[in-house]
Amino acid sequence: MKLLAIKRFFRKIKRIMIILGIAMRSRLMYRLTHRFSFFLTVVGIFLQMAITVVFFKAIYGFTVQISGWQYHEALIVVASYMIIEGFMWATVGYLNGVSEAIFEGKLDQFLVKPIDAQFLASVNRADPEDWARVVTALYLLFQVVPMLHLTLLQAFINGALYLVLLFAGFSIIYSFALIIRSIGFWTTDAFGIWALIDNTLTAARFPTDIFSNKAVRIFFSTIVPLTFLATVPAKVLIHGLNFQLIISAILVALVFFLLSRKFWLFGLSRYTSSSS
Amino acid sequence: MKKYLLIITDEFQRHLAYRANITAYSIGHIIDVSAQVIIWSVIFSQVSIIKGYTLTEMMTYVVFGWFFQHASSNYNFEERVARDIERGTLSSLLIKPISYLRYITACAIGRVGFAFATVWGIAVILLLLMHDRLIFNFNPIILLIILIMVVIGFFIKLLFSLIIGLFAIWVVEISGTYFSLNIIAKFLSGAMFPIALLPSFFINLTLLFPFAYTLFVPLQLYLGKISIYQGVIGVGVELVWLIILYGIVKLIWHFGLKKYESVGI
Repeated sequence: MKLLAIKRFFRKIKRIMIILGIAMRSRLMYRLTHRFSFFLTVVGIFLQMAITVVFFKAIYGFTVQISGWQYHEALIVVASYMIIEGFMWATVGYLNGVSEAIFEGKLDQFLVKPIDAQFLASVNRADPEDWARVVTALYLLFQVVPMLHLTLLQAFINGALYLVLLFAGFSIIYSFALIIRSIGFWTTDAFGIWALIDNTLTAARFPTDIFSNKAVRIFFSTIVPLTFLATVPAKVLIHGLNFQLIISAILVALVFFLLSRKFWLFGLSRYTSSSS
Repeated sequence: MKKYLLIITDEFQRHLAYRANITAYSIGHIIDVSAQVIIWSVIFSQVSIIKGYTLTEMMTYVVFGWFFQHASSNYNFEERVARDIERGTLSSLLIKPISYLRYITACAIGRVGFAFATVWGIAVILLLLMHDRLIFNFNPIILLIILIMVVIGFFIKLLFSLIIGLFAIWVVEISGTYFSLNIIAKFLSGAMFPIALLPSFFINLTLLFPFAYTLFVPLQLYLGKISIYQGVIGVGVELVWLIILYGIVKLIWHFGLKKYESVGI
């Protein structure tokens, strides 16, 4: 019985992965119909990263460390954030598709399909050009990690934990975005809400240790858990195993994921299919 | 003129319909400015002056810079123009007794008017919270020059949007173009961080483009880092750019209409 359940679970995962692959391939084909625009977006992404690095270089020209973070360590936070951000755009388009589907009443087409509507609404607007974000972030990461002077074993262990924490960070940011986007079930036009997500997440590009105020720290660890997006993975990559941080990150990711799912289903029950 | 006033009012009211958006934008702005204030406060806890900026000057740059930025923003009108072309809705506007370019300008004025009204509310909150950490300059001449710069800056950004948007007549999809160009424009304007932090040759280079005059230069004037005379020259440079961009828009519109295929109707 147990074996059957496990088999069914893996079959479901396989199905999801196949659909994800198809959705991403079709989005890539769609985006490549306008190659010039695709190319310019990639250029824009490179520029964005270059400007961020220039900014950090400029401010670190006046100080050796900021809240205990040296230049190369702060760049690891930047790279970590960019990897998560890149995955968010490249796989689920920062859930722009969810807002669009609610606003234009397109959610109906996902609801009638025999696959989870949240999943379909999430992956239907992936932006494949944002893989450039992941690639540039990885390039940046490979430039600064050697400055940490880790042994091969440390690099392996810290790197593995770092990947787990990045996944937790992705899960948190996805859940947070889903909760915010689901508000659209009540407000219909939720595009302004994007500004809220974007502006809030801007702060995650910096090590959250700079927020010395206790109330702000609690806010960024629980209500809007920015700390776990890039700072915690970067800390583990730099300093190694820290059970408290790792368990907290995984727990926060789980709680947020379950919360967002509940909120999505609650919102869905209020869906009016306007303008469909 | 009356019909354009109606378009401005209509655009203003359209945005009022989505109050949740206003709330979200407002909270987002407060978080954005607060995060920048905290970041700069931490940096300034270790140094007293960065490239001639004190903590108070930097706080003023962040808060007033944010205000200028939103008071002169183009609010992605390039996307709207491109959508009109891509979906063929431009055709229905062309047959009406209005000028499309003026119609878009009226919409943009309505949009920025709405944003301005919202931003004022947040600005008051920020000023109350941070009044002891900001510099207040009440020199009427300086304030007048800044006002002129911000207004011209708004039209420069709008014309820039129109140029990008009208390119949709030839290339259809312009999201990549405006994404990249907006990053450059934002960077050159000093909205991401003061361009004074960069090497001097770079500052001189940015002063050749119109974007620095929409944010960085007015703020330098406000902070007393440049003279009134230099501010007036800044207005002059802005006006030259305004004329150049207007000419480009007219040229693109002239040739674009010949190419326009009215697809989608």
